[in-house]
Amino acid sequence: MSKLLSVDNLSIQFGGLKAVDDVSFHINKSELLGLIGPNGAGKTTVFNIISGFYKADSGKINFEDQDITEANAAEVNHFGLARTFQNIRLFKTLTVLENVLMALQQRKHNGSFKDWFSSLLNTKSHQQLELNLKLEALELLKIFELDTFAQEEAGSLPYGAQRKLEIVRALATKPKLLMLDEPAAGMNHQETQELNELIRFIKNKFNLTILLIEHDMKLVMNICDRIVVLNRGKKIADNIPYEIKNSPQVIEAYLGKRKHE
Amino acid sequence: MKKYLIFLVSVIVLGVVLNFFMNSYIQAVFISFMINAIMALSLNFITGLADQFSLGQAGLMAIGAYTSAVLNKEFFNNDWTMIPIGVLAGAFMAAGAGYLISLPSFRLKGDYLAIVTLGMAEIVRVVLLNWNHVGGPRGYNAITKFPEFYFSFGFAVLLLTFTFMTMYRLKFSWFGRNLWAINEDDIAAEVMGLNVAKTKRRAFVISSFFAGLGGGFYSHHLGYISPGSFGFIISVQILIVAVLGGLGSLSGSIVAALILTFLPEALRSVQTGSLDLRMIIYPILLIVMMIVRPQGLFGRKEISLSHFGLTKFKARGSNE
Ligand SMILES: Nc1ncnc2c1ncn2[C@@H]1O[C@H](COP(=O)(O)OP(=O)(O)OP(=O)(O)O)[C@@H](O)[C@H]1O
Ligand SMILES: [Mg+2]
Repeated sequence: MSKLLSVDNLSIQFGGLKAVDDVSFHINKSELLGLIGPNGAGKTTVFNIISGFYKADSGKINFEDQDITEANAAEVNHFGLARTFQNIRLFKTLTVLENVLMALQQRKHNGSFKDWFSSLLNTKSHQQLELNLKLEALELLKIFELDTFAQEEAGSLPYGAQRKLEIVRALATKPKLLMLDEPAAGMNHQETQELNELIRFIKNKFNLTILLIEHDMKLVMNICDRIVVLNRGKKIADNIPYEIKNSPQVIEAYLGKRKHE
Repeated sequence: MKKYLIFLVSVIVLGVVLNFFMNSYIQAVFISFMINAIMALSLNFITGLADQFSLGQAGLMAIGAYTSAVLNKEFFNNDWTMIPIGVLAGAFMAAGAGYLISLPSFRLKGDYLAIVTLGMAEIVRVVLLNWNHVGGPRGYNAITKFPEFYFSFGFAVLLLTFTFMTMYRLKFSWFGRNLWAINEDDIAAEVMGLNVAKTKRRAFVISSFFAGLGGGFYSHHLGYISPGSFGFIISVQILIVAVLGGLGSLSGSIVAALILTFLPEALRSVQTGSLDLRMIIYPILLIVMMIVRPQGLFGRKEISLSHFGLTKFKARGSNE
């Protein structure tokens, strides 16, 4: 198995708080890796560092044998990493379709002279390109049963649908690694089950590797290939779900600290 | 195709009516309206579509105006057929200046552009004040003019149409979508792989180009310009037009320019002594607007041309 992403000795400090403390882990190609831990463990912070928002105090991040430690958020995306946000960040007054188009077009419109002039003159080839983009966007939306909302403002969707739209939008940037930050937050049991199946489905369909942050232990157990557990910024376990479930350290970290869903 | 034909015929009819039935004063006001519309559009592109506050539109206008005026008088021998070349050169000069301004302005988040453009406009004004070759504070006069109202009118319509169509196409293109996304959430836009700073820079260069275009034509319309023609108050007036029409609505800017150009003229007969009525009307209009309709006349929407006879509003989407 070859490594897709490896994180080595990552640390970051906010004031006196070591939010991430010497964390190392890796993800193999086609793996579904769970990143779990109690509230404030540092999961989202790890995401923010990998995706180029925070600069780590120390540590290295490699993606497909390229050093991406210094890359900014836009550059990280171009390497082939996409992410969603724990607190949803859609383009609220754009339509559902436009949200996906915006992500898709970053791969199709590079801002070349031809790009500018064909859109200014509204040429046949430009109209064709726009049409193709729309069809592609609709196809992606269909997978998540969001195509019926295509013309609605993203901000007006129900909560669960907004979460799904964030995944579609991330998918539209054609990532190799998809990082999901609590995609099931706020969903009921049945919705969560459906989402799990969807995640499995897109993973196979688009040949993805997935890094999944989740709070709910039970949920990650039956979907992840392997699980990394963080607690107070430190990695305390890295193993297959069965072993994680029976690890005394993990149980201790979670005891009484589990956030209610 | 039919759309373009109807547009062309209306323009010709309007030109003929203005030429034969209106005095030269109203003709001049009408051309002023088109210049005001171009200036409001130029600001609307950066402030309305890209959500970047700019307070220096008059400075960019001055660059376009002086470039075109000097070029035509000193290099083109006052040949009026060269006016379009001069105006275009003015637009490119302003775009160049806009590019330089944009370099430091979008590195940080926040309203830095407002501060930088404010400073730029002031620097331009002071340089012109002290530049004796272009008249210094006395201004630059006897600038090349069009010999006939028809030419002047035709060229103004051409410039306004060009400005509007360019921006309209851009608004509903991939570029407009990027700008809108940045407006909504610049962090998410960046995560989609968009270079946010570069996109804002481009929007500002485009805005500057059209400010220069409007300024260039302004100099040939009046035949006289001075540093005082491009003070801070002019930037504010341009802003007022854009806000009244609706930040983000291009057709709104044109409608607002029409209202705000003709209203003070219509009230000119009212006796006010030495008082400039605009200084009263503009603030009152703005205050009323902020209370009744804070998003401006049209918000972000456009008056759609797709159905003649039917006034349809369209917020966004592709060019159908
Ligand atoms: N920008 C920041 N400035 C200061 N402190 C921060 C910042 N970002 C995160 N922290 C702190 O770092 C710690 C880890 O936060 P993080 O959001 O990574 O936790 P988490 O594991 O995602 O928790 P949750 O399950 O609640 O989402 C928290 O104590 C948090 O307050
Ligand atoms: Mg979190």
